[in-house]
Amino acid sequence: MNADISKIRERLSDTFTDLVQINNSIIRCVKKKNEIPYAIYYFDCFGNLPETQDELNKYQDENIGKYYFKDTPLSLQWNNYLYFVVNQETVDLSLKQIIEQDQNYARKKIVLDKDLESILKPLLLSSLSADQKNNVLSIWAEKLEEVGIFDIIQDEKIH
Amino acid sequence: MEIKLASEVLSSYGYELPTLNALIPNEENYKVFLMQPHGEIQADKSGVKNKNRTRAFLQFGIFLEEATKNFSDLVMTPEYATPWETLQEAIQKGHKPKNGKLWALGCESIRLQDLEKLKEEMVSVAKVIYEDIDSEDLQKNKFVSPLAYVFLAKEKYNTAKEQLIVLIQFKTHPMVDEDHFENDGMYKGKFVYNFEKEKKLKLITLICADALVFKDDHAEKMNDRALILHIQLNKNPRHSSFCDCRKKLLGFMNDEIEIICLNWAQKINLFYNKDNIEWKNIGGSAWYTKSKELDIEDEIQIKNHNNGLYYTRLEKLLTHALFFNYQQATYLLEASKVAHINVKAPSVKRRGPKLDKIFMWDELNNQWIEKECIDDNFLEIYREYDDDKIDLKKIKDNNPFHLERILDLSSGDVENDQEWYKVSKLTCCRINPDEVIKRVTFAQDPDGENFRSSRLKRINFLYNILTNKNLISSSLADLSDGFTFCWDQKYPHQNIKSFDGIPATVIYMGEESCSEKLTNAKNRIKKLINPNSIGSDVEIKEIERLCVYYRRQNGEIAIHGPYSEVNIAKVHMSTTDIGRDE
Repeated sequence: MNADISKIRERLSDTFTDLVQINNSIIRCVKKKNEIPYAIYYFDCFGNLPETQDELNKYQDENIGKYYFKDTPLSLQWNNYLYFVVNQETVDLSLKQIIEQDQNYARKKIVLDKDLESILKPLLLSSLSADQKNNVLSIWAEKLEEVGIFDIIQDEKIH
Repeated sequence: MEIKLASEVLSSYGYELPTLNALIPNEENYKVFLMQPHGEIQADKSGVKNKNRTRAFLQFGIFLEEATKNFSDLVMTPEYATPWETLQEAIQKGHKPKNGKLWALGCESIRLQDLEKLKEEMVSVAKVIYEDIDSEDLQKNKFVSPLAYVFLAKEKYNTAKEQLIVLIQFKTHPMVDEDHFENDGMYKGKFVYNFEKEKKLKLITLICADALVFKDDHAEKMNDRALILHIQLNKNPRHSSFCDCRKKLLGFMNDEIEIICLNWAQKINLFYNKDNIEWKNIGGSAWYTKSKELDIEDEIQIKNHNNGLYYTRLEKLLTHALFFNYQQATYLLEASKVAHINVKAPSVKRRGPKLDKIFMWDELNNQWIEKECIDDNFLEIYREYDDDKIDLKKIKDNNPFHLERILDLSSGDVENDQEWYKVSKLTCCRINPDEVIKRVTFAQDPDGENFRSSRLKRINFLYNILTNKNLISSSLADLSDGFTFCWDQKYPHQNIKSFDGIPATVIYMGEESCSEKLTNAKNRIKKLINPNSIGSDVEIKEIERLCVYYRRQNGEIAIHGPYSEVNIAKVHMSTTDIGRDE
């Protein structure tokens, strides 16, 4: 096993209140706002990456599929994330492409264990200077704040 | 062949054409009693008759007696069927049509000189009328293929006096047969009689090969407000020549025409001289109607099915074709009139024929016995393909059309029509102009066997797929806990329910379907489930639970487009999703 799943679970518990270990390697977390879920995260701590598209498909069918159809409301199906937590610094580029460009079930990313906090850490928005006020993010921020769901963009790092 | 008004013929003998109940264009239904006998037929150049005469006397005698007792308005027997002796005896016993009733009996062949004698013999009980035959033909003493119309008529100048009439019509054209027994031995008639009165409803009868000389101009005269009877002794009742005749009649836009084809039962044995020739024929008796108001609800068609009348749709001619069971039986039906004239709305619809009773011959007791249902031969093919694991029989026994729907859907073979599940739109119920019957639940047509076996094989494969956990799609994971094939009006586009009662659509398209065909089938069903592309959450869930399986070239079972519903870049359009464009 690549990483100690119990330690990762501990690190995730700072960010997520609703998290379940669904098998030996995967932790499923639900993000909620006012008790309403709005995003689902899967963290695979095993460190073994699927090596082909077929393997990736099978992996997702087995691990995400059953939750995707059964326990995920339709409104959340577009907001699923799967992180493969690895230790090795280098991952084969073609493999990375297979995984990260795959559009089934969830957006996917391979992250280094040491970088895990960076994706968990909320995005901090600083006050905007006058010339930044008209960018897309600021317009959305204003709109979301008006309806009380500003947190949606604050807790996700935007790349 | 010339179509002649029966009223003119009767008038020349001093009688009025009666008003026949079947032809009064009102909302009252009329009763029809048909006999489809089993054929053991003796044919040679002297004519065509029942071989087993004792049995024929009994069967037809009891049939005519019953026809009198049950007050049938229209009574029919097929070509060459009714023995003259039986008809004579029935009439003498008082078993004869009452006012307004019409018997249209295909009778055994009779030689012209014998017909002359018969006319004399019957003079005390009935007036026998037929077309003039010149003396030369009479000398040749050929036989005729006769149809006896039996009915009561009033005298023209003394309407209080009724007379039983036997108006005999002769076949006008010989059937094509290898031995030319009709061609050489049969006298050809000239006239076909039309019972039209006061330009209301028409009724004519064609005798078998009359269809071969039925021309477009005949059809132009007879296609509207017409009841066409077609009695036959026919080895191939759906030969293109016979289909063409129906096409001529049914190929007009109006819907006020019906054709009752009455043949002998399947598997006729023809004894020609000393040879026993097994015809291996289908029955082929059928009721064709173009009524746009035909009752195609399950309830009435299930009853028809159980009694031996099976619905099909001849779409090219916009015609409903209801086929009778191929076995020997007599059928009692109630039918709406072929047209309703001056009937005020709202009124009952021209809902077509309803088969009320069926009687089968009890050889032991020499009786026609009423039966609750008749074998549609489904069980025979079902046993070959299903060892009770799917329990198709239970579904079929509950509602044969539910099973047809499940089979259509399981094969991905449904119309691109929100109401594809209506009886008239089911693929299994559709017939082409060749009239081969593909109904799985009516399994008597040998030419429909490949279709039926392919449908049953498909559902068996599908069952095997769904009981293999490795092959179940993640959207249908719940099926691993158990499922049943079923059809429910509440979920019309689904063919299966999980153990928890959640419906799904599961299709197996075999190994012969190309990618385009698979995509088309899937898209077609998706459109049925979610016609406007922006569906409710329920509809989107239903699409998720749609799965099309097929077999790859290498023999593996695969799911077509397994990830089409889980692509995060192509999420479903939902009615609650106001900001997303695909």
